[in-house]
Amino acid sequence: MGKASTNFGIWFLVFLALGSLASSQYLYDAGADGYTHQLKAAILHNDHPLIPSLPILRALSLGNTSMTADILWLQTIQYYGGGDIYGKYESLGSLLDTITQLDPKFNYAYQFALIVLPYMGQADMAVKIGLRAQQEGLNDGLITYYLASVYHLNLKEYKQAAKYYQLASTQSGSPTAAKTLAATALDNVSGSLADRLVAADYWKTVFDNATDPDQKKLAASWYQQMQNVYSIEKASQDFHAKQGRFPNSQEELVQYGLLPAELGSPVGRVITLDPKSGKVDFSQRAQ
Amino acid sequence: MLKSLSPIRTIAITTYKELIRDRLLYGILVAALLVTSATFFLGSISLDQDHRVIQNIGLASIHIFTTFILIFVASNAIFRDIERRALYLLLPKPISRTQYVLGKYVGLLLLLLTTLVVLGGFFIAGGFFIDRSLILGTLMVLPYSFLEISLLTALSILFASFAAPLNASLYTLAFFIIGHSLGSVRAYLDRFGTPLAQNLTAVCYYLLPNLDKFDIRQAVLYGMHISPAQVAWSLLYWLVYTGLILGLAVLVIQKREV
Repeated sequence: MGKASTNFGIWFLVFLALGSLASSQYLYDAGADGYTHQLKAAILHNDHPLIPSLPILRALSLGNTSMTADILWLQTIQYYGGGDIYGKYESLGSLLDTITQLDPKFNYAYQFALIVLPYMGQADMAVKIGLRAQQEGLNDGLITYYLASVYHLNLKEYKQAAKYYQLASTQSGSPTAAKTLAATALDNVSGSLADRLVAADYWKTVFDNATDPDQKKLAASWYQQMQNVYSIEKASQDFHAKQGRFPNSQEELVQYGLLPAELGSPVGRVITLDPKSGKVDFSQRAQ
Repeated sequence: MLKSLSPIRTIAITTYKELIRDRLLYGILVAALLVTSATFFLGSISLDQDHRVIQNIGLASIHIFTTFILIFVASNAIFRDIERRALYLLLPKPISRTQYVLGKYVGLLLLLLTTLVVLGGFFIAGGFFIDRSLILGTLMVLPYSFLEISLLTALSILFASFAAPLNASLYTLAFFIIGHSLGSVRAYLDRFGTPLAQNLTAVCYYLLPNLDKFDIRQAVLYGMHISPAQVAWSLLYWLVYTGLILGLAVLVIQKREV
C-alpha cells in the first residue's frame, strides 16, 4: 500500500510537471503581444548579416585571413541568395569590402562586387573595392574592365572610365572591347578642347591595333567624328573671342570664315552646337 | 649511443599504443572527419569558389583538430604516468629522465603523424574525386602543420611537467593563439602603439614561438613562391625551439621529486 502510494505520488508529480510545462508554454504564446515566433522568424529572415569589425576578424583568424574571408564569402552567398524584401542588400557592400580587405587577392569577390553593387545603389562602394584591386596590384584585366564600366555606366565619370578601360586593355583577361570602350568613354568628355583630341587619339590607337576590317572602318569613322567635333568647338571658341558670344549654328561659323564648310557626322549622329556653351552634342542618332 | 636510444623507442611505442587506444581520440577524430567532409559540401555552395573554400576550410579544420587533439593528449600523458604511479616503476630502472621525456615526445609525434595521415588521407581521397588540384596543396601544407603542432606538443609536455593537465592545455592553447597573433599585433602596434609597446612587442615577436611561418595555406592557395631559404630557416627555427623546450621540460622533470 505504501509502495503503491509512493509510485502514484511520483507519477502524479511527473504529470503535474509536464502539464505545467505545456500550460506555461501555451500561456507564454497567448500572452506574447510583441515578440512572437513569427516576428522572431521575420527578424531573422530579414535581418542584415552580422559583420564583425575588421581588426576583430583579423585577430580571430589567427593569421588565417583567407579562410575567414571564405567564411564571410559563404555568408555573403547565403545573404544574396536568401533575398532582400527591399531588394537593396544594404549589407552586401560592407560584406564584400571586408572580404577583400581580409583577402586582398580574392579575385572573384572583386568581380562580384563590381558587377552587383552598382545595381544595388552602391556604386561608390563598388569603386572603392575596385580601386583596392588596383592598389593590391592584381593586374586582372577583367576586374579593371568592370571598374571602368561602373565609372562609365553608373557614375558617368567618363575620364576615369577611359583611364581604366585603357588600363584593362593592357592587362590579361580583359575583353577585347576595352580599348574601343576607352575611346567611347572619352567621346563624352568635353571639359576642354584637348579632351576631344585625346578621344580622337584613342580612336587612332584602336584603328592602328584593329585587325578586323569592319572594326578598322568604325574606328576610322569615329576618329574623323572626334576631329570634326574638335574643329567645330575650336571655331566656336574663336568666334566667341571675336564676337563675345557663341555661334548659333555651324552655318554662322562658315559665314564668318572660321570653318571651310559645315561638318557632318561620319558615324551617323546629329551634330548640334549649343549657343550657350559653344559645345557640340552628338548623342542623338540621325534618323 | 644506440643503447641510449632503446629506452626512448620503448617508451615511445608504449606511449603511442596507450594513446591510440584512447576512446576520446576516436571521438575527436570522427568529429574532425565529419567537419572535413562538410567542407566539400561548403565548396558546392560557394558560387564557383569550390577550390579555395574546400582548401582553406578543409586544411584549417585538419590543422585545428589535430592541434587540439595533441595539446590535450600531450598534457595528459605525463600527468597520467604520475597519477597511475607508472613513473615510480619506470624511473628506478636504467632510464634517464631525458630518455623518458624524449620517449614521451616521440610517442606523441607518432600519434600526431597518425592523425595527420588519417585526416589528410581522407581529405586527399575526397580531393581525388572532387578536385584533384587540392592534392598537391595538401601535400605541401601538411608537413608544415606537422612542424607547428610538434612544437606545440613540446610546449604541452613542458607545461605538463609542472602544471595540472587542464592548466597545461590552457597554457599551450594560449601560446597557439599568441604564436599566430604576433605578426598582426606587431603590425598594429607599429602603426598605433607607443614606442614602449612597440619595443615590447618586438621582443615578444622574436622570443615567443612565432607560428605564422608554419602556416603556408595562403601561399599555396595563390601559388606564391616560398624560397628554399625560408624553408631552411623555418626548419632551423623549429629544431632550435623544440630542442629548447624539451631541454627545459627535462630540467623541470629532473628537479621534480617523484
